[in-house]
Formats: sequence, C-alpha cells, structure tokens
Amino acid sequence: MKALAGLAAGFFLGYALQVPLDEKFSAVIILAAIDSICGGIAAKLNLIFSDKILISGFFTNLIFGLILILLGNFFKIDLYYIALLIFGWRIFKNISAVKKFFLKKYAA
Amino acid sequence: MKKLRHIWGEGWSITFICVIVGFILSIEFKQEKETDTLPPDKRIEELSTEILKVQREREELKLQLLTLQKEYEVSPEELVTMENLRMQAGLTALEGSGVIVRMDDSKSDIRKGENPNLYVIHDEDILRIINELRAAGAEAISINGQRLTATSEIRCAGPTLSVNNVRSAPPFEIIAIGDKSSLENSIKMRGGVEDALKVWGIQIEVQSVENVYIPPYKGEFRHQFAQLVEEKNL
Repeated sequence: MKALAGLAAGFFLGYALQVPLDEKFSAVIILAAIDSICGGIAAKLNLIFSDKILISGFFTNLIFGLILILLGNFFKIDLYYIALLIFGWRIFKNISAVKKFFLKKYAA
Repeated sequence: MKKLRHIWGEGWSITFICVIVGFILSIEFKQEKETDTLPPDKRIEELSTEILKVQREREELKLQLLTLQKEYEVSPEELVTMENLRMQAGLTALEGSGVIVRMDDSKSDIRKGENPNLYVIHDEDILRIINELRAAGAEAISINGQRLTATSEIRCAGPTLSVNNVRSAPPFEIIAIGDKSSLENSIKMRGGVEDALKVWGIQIEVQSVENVYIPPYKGEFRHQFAQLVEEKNL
C-alpha cells in the first residue's frame, strides 16, 4: 500500500512541477526504477531483501545509464539502448523468478 | 497467504522508487498530452496565422475607430469611396466570376545533360501569367491564397515561391476575378503563356468558374519612406 501511495505522490509531484525531461532520460530512469521494483519483489520472495542493496543498486544502475546517455549524446550514438536492453532483460528475469516462486508454492 | 506477508510489508526503498516511477510517468503523460494538442511544426504556423489574424483585427478596429470618430464628419459618399479604396487596396475579400489557373512542375523525364531548372516553375512564369491576366482585365488576383496588392512581390525563394513574404510550394493556384472568357483566352491564346510553358512540360490547367473567392490581404502596409505631399505640376 505504501508503494501505491508513493506512486500517487510521485504522480502529483511530477504533475505539479513542470520538469521538461528528454525522453531518453525518462526511459532510462523509469526502466531502472521498474527493474529495481521487480528485483525488490523477487528478493523479498526469496527472503534476501535489503533496502540498502536495492537503493544502492538503483542509483548505480541509474547513474551508469545516465552516463551512457550523456556519452551517447556526445558521440551522437544512441548508447542508451544498451541500458534499456539490460534493464528490460533484468525486469523479465526477475518477473520469471517471481513466477517460479509462485509456481513452486502453489503448483507443486 | 500469511506466508506472503513479507511482501506487503515492503521496505521504504520500494516506496521511494515508486515515487520516482510516478514522477516520471506524470511528466511523460503531460508531455504526451501537450504534443498531442500542439505538434511543434504546426505550432509555428498556427502562431503566425494567429498573429496575422490579430494584426488584421487591429487594423479593422483602427478603421472602425476612425469611422466612428468621423461619423458626423464623413458623408456617406465618402464612406463609399473609402470602401472602394479598401477594395482596390486589396483589404477586402472579393467574390465574382473568374478563372482558376493551376500550375505544377513538369512531370516529364528530364533528359541527360539538360538543365532541370527549365522544368520547374519560376517566378517569371507566374509573373507572365499574372501579367496576362491583368492585361485581360483581372480585377483581383491571388496566388495560393495570397492576395496580390500593389506592393506584393512574386519571387523564387529556393524551391518555393514567396508572395507577400509568405512562401508556398507547387502546385500553385492562381485565382483571378474578371471576365471569364477573356481571362481564359489570355492564358490559352495560341503562342501564349500556356504554349510557352507546355514546351517544358509544366502543367497548366485553366478553369473558368462562375463564382470564385479571393481572400483579403492579411499583412500590413508600411510607408516608412514615402510621405504624402500635394500634387505638383512637373
């Protein structure tokens, strides 16, 4: 429930503050965030969850993603695709981990 | 379900990241909505037409003010002459019988070694047509919706044509009010403009119409250097 409240709070915050954001940046940020959430859920199910690991992981991924964008902008190459690709891949990996957990729990 | 409790009691980190997700989502949502309503390319066009409209409105209001101020001084005859002058200056929309001339660049294949410039419409071609139409007694002429006034230019601007400082690309549509048959004949005359341009494959189509509409001049008149003086006998 706290997560949903956070989502709503962020939504209103973003709506109130008019921040112009390049779509490359929002894509990387949003995928990094979703990746962290999925990773967090998977970790919770496997009882290895830690706030510290999740937040530090989120920020290192995010910062490296942003570096890739800036580097790409500098060289005029779309390097940020690699960040999106890896984030997407990790999201699906974590989703499958969650699925495996429930499959084990209820189907076995 | 009791065993799943550890999911619902999520840590603060997930809440924090959810805030970020919501933040970005709302920004994207907003940008999406803005771009939906105003595509950037169209925006400039819309704004410039808006400016022209407002400028015209201002001119009209100025004129209205003038007429209201002089309501008791200006006789009805003078108002009629004023309307006539406005009509001649191209400040009023007009309707009447006339012709529509449609022109487009050549579709024929350009032979090797030939200058492709010969196969596209130039300002001279348009000027020749305008000249013929005027000679045939055209009372009002517009090119792609731009009214020709006494000071309008017709000029090549790269691949486009600039009239009243507004650019337009082929196909061009020249509308003229006047005697239909003489206007049509002036273009279709044997050895005339149409024949000369058809050599290069430039497509011209003349259509007489019972009722054509010509929009008013939407720009401003500038008299920066000219000054009004009494008529002199030289």
